[in-house]
Amino acid sequence: MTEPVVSFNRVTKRFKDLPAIDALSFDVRPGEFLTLLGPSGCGKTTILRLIAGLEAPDSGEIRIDGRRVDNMPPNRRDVNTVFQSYALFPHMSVFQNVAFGLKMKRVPPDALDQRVRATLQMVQLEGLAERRIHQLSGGQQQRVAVARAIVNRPRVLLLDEPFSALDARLRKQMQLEMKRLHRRLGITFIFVTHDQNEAISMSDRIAVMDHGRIEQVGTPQQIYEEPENLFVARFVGEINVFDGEVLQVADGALEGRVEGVVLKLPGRRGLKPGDRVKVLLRPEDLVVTKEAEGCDQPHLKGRVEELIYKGTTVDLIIRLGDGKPVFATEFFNEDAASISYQPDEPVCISWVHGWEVILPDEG
Amino acid sequence: MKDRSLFKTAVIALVSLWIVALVCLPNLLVVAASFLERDEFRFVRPALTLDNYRQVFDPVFFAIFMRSFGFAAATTALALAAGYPFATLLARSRFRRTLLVLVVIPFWTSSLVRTYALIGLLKAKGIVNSLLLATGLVREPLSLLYTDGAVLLGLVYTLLPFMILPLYAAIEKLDPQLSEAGYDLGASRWQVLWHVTLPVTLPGIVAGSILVFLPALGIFYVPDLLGGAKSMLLGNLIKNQFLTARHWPFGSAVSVFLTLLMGLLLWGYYASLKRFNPDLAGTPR
Repeated sequence: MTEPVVSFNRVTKRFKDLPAIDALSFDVRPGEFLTLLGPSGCGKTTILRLIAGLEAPDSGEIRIDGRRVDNMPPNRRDVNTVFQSYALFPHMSVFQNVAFGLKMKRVPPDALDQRVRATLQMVQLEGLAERRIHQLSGGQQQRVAVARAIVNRPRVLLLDEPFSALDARLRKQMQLEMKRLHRRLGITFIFVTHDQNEAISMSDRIAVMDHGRIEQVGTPQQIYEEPENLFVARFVGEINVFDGEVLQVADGALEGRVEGVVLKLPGRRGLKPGDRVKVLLRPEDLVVTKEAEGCDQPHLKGRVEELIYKGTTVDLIIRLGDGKPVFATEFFNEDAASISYQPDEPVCISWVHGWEVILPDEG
Repeated sequence: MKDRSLFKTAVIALVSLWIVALVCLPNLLVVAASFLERDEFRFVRPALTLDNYRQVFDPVFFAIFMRSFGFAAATTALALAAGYPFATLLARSRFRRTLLVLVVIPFWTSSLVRTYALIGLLKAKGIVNSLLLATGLVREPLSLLYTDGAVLLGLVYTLLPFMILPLYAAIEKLDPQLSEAGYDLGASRWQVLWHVTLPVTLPGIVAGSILVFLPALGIFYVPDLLGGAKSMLLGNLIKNQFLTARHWPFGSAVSVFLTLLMGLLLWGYYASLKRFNPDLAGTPR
């Protein structure tokens, strides 16, 4: 177990008595790409500001490389930030912006020049060194902001929704480049976003946050496939939530009633007969078949309400007998007959046993 | 549509007439007078001469110029030193609206009257001396009035709002994240002030300095009232030439010289704005 590069121990920060983050504890591993994912106002930016030293915690301990930094001013921390608005210095050229941190550290001119040029090359801005900030496009400004931070080779790079001002295509491209930079530099990245796709495609680990608390920490796969609670399940991707009740518990498996149908379910510790549960299934895990063609067991029954053609997939909205809508995503299969349903056509919904996630009903 | 263009024409005509009659013509008269000779009875004699301008560069008057410049520069420096921290507090305060009104309220009283109030504060038996005597800090009244210090105080006091308001506008627009970025990149408070805050608010600093420096050269009643007879600055010089010495051509020449000088300073300001403003207009989203 290596020592964490950043560690929070029961850190609380209040703004006007409202806790922005509440007794929060977590560790960041050296060299990892950790994403703080959550809706706006969940406290994720506050965490970045606490690490950068732009805010001081009300209570708790923050450590960077094992050293307590609660009251260390930002300019003495080996941490740099890429701000959401970039916060580039408007009176300086691209070169001067990137050189700022090195100048403050009194790096000799030769070394400074070389490091700034190398960093500009790394973010593909080598030809724009003498430009003024207002002469750059949004994407170029973003690269300057990144270059200005990484030129200092910090222990930790903090990124506060850095792509939120970019259009979708540029965003994709920057995500890839950021991933590449992370691999190349070996710096620990802490990335804040409210975009789950961005989080899943870029991170080594994701911390899903809500109301100043971390709801779950895990790899993108864990977060997506094994959500620990309904908030995480609903926040990350589309998901169907079925109501159920435990009927029997027997050697690691359950028998339960889901939307009125008795089914075998995978076991989960701590459940006993009579408990209300939620059964979660991703739309792409559902298999839809026409009732007329015979159904697999187990299955739920419903009628097709809407069919949305998406190119590589077809999205179905199916209304169950009790009125609950279900979302299913079907992939085209070259060998099978085309997916064509009539409106109101009766269908069965089934899935591979064990792919469902069982959560206790939180009320 | 037609009525509208008629209205527009009428308004423009009125304003143009106003400017020609009350700004251009008087200034032209001053320029014309500066090239004429003095006349005891009719103020000017219609005979062309450059003597008045030669007199402007006479060592005696040149000394007054230098003194005026010194006073104006000192006033500007003091107003900037007092105004910048104040404007910063103002821009960051929760009560900024109230504070802003407090800055503007003195304008409601004639500055001449407020200068008399300063006399009340500073004179031998004035409020300041009474307080100092009562607390036993001094044995006999200090001579505060009719000193260079009193003139400087009066100038700074009168002109300080002209420094604060442009500074406030510039500092209020300043993105606080720029300072945060400075700290984040390892700069200390002073380094952030020097390398980030001051350069980004430079247009405000220059605008405020011009608004203080130029009037400081021309205001005549402050040195008149607070400096006494000895304190001669450019403003008094011009006033005296017109009202006391009755030498209109020389007064005009000094006026023209001062106007040209101010024009030069303003030109310098716009040139510097041209260099800085496009950068500041392009602050990132």
